[in-house]
Amino acid sequence: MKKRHPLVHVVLILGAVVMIVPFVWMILTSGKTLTESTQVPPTIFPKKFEWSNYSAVWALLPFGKFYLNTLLLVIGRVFFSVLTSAMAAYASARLRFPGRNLFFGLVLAQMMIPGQIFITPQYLLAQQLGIIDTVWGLILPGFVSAFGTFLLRQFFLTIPNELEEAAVLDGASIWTIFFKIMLPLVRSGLVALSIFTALFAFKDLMWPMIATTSVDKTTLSAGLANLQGQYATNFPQLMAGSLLAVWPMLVLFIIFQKKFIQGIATTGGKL
Amino acid sequence: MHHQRRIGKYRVNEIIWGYLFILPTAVGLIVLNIKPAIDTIYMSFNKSAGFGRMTWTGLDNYKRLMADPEVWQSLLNTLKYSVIAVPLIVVFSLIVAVLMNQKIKGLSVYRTLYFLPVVAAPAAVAMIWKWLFNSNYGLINQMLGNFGIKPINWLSDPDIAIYTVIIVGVWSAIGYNMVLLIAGLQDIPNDYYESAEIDGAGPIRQFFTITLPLVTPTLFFVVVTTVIGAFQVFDSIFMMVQQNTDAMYKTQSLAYLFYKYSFILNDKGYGSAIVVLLLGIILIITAIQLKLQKKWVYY
Amino acid sequence: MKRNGLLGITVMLAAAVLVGCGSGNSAGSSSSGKVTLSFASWDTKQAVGLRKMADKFEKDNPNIKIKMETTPWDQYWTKMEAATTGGKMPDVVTMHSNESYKYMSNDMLMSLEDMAKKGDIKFSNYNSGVTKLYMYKGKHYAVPKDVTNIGLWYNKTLFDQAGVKYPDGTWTWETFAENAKKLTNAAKGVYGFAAATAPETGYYNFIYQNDGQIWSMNEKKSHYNDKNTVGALQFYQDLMLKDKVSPSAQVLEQTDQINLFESGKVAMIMAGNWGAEELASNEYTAKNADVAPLPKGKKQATVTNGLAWGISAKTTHPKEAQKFLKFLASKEANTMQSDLGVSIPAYEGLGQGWTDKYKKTFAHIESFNEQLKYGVLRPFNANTIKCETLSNEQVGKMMSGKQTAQETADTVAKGIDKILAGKE
Repeated sequence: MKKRHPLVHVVLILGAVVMIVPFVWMILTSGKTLTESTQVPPTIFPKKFEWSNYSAVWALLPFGKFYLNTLLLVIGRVFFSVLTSAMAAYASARLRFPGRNLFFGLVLAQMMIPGQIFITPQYLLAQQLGIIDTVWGLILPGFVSAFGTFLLRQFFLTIPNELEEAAVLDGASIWTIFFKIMLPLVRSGLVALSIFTALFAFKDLMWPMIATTSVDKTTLSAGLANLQGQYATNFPQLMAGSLLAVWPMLVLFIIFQKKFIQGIATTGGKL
Repeated sequence: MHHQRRIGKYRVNEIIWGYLFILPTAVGLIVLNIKPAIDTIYMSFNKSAGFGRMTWTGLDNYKRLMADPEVWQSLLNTLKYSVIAVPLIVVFSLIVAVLMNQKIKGLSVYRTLYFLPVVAAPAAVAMIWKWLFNSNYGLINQMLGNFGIKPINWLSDPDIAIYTVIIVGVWSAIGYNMVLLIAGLQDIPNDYYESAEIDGAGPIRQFFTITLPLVTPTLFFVVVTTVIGAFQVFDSIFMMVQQNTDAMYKTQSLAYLFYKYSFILNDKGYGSAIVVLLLGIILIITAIQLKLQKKWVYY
Repeated sequence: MKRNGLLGITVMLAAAVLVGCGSGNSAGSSSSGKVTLSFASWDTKQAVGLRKMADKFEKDNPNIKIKMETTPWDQYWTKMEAATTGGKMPDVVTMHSNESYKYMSNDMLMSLEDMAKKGDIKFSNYNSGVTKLYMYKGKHYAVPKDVTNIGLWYNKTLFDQAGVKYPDGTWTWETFAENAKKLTNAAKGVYGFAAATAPETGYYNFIYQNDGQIWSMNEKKSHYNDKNTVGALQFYQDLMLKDKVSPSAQVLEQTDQINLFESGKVAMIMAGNWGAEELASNEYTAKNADVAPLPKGKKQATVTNGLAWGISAKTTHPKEAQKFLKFLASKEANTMQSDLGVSIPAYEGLGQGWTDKYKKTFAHIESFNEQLKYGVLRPFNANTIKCETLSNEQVGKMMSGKQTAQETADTVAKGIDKILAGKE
């Protein structure tokens, strides 16, 4: 693939414009007054950037709490699901015990079933546990991950047996082998799973909407859905709110974009 | 290792650690997924009396479901969404991936820009598009106006709203699948292209004889996950289309209908029956795809 | 450690999460003997005034703190049901007639009979219609908060430009339709009226004015296909499809009628007295808008409703919650509610403060008080949400020309009968 046609750039630039215009328009609108935003024909740049739209939505919704709750949700889900998945994946890839296949079948079954089927009972469970409206309630469905178990299993399967056998001969326990030898070897898998889990926790909408009852206990994604209810058509403020909700992940992505893209690519390549 | 105790073909040590290691995930999956799935199926045979109370009604919900035009319309909408959105997502992602699988300038910039929609919260994405598609002041109608096109009710015209939702769905999904496909393309050994070039094959022929067949394993994964995602579409519909309108009737997916009955109208029994229907459909379609896989995927 | 840096960081962060969660989530009573009551409502505009009322209560009762939880209407009831099922219903809640029956009949609200006996609440003080909305089997479950009805808001400037006289109590359906036509200038995108698919701020009013019926609380059968109801629906549909005095149903679905009114695109809308705050805070409408009684059909009518305050039956602080409710029920609190312009209190005779507050902006605001004479209660029953959702879906179809008024009424009537029979 040596020859490059100039058309390649034309097509890619066109596509890139389609991808970012919505974001650009969001930023521009968020700086306009309501009258300015509904002007016909529209102006492209705000006459004067209205920061008041930001203070207005910030005053209306507890964004500080949204950030905190989202952060806790992401950290909680990543920590628990990566830890439990790594353990389960290691066992099902490298250890032999009765019922291993049954367990793996369980993992596969969960991956096939649409998530909505779990939601009502998960919600009733969260109620029984009394964790509706808490960070634990938000994390709940992500304590374990069938997807993560499957993914990391693929990584563990590729590690050659010799390393492990040498360690066993040295008298290392399975626990030591797992933590000291195997986990470092699947580091790229752990990173990939962490990114994947973080991204999907951040984007989850239906569960936080259901699992929280007060506004200051919810996440950015679901909190923003609230904003729409209150400010049906104040577009500049809606756009300001949207920006407040998208920037953290956007910034993280731009800083760690290599890791993000590698992470996502690995998750696909391993399945 | 000969000194370790064994039971049959297993080592005791491995049995103990194996169970300890799978314990959290196994318990989690049973409590959070398997039991809920069974509960939902059980609930679908019940009528909810509010505040979590249930009474057994046998097949009533399913009888009602079969006779409910809203369910059939939602199923039709879901199919329509999937049939249109999936090919668009796959084709666009593949084109972009192939274009980016070259040594060109600004590659990482392109990749970053195309991936941006993937990291944006769906609620924000929906809000942004809702504003772009606004019939009075939206950028899109304003631009079309320059060409003398009358304002289009992108989100409230019952015949159009579903296509608008599809556009947003495709836009949001390209970046993710593009990255997966680029990874798949990079696994194709360069020698193949070099020998093809010696044979005088042009880029188009190279694409169809080398690239496409060899990327099918990744493509298969992309198709299966995109289909499953399409069948569960909810966020964009919920956020962009007005409740209880004709436009919603012609756009709502089964996943949205499930949400409406379970959490807006609080009829969790009927909602469960709807999601069981959705489960059945997804299982059938996934099974078909796995069957067809042999016909077009090269390993 | 180098290799496990990422893992190490994750572990540390996770530990921080756990510590953070442990300390932060116990609401209710705190160590200093102070009790915190949660107080749920949905209207962000009213929340400002309600907060002031709560501040006053806190000042008088330093041991009780009121934590206001304001959730938008779209999610309020979903969340309320979720919280109630999980035993975490807020201590003091704002009730609406759409939902009150369900909460009362399932014993989720505390009966207020004891408070009435002690003299903490005197139910005869309040608007009798609203009071009735919150009674179940002869017992009171909530204190009427306010009384609402629907008025005809109009844009004076658009009327002047079209040379039409401002509406007043004498208008009939005919004058209304005729003037709406005069006010419509489709080329400029200006319409006489917004015939939104809204029940309380839309077609219900016409149904009542035509002596039609919707459904009643005690019957197992709906009268939605009554010929007067069909007549009213027909009139409503004609406004949009025949007389073309309203923006299309599709436009109204995307932009709320209040927003169209605020941007000078429609000359008249039906909106409740609770809309006064919003319309007064908008520069354009504050300058250009006023309000009149609704036009008269076979008779004069407007949909009245009222919210109420109740206590969770399972509150962990019943004494404090009753104390707060006693305050909310008092003349003092309701005078504040009126003077702060929150809404017209259901406490009879206190409406003047509310009127005075808006009188400067809207010269004829007192028409809301006058209209109360012939107000008809918004229909409610155990399944109001299901019935109303059905009605809105079908009327929406009718307004986009997909079905006739008769077909609409028949479908809704059949559906409601099914719902009332417990089949759906």
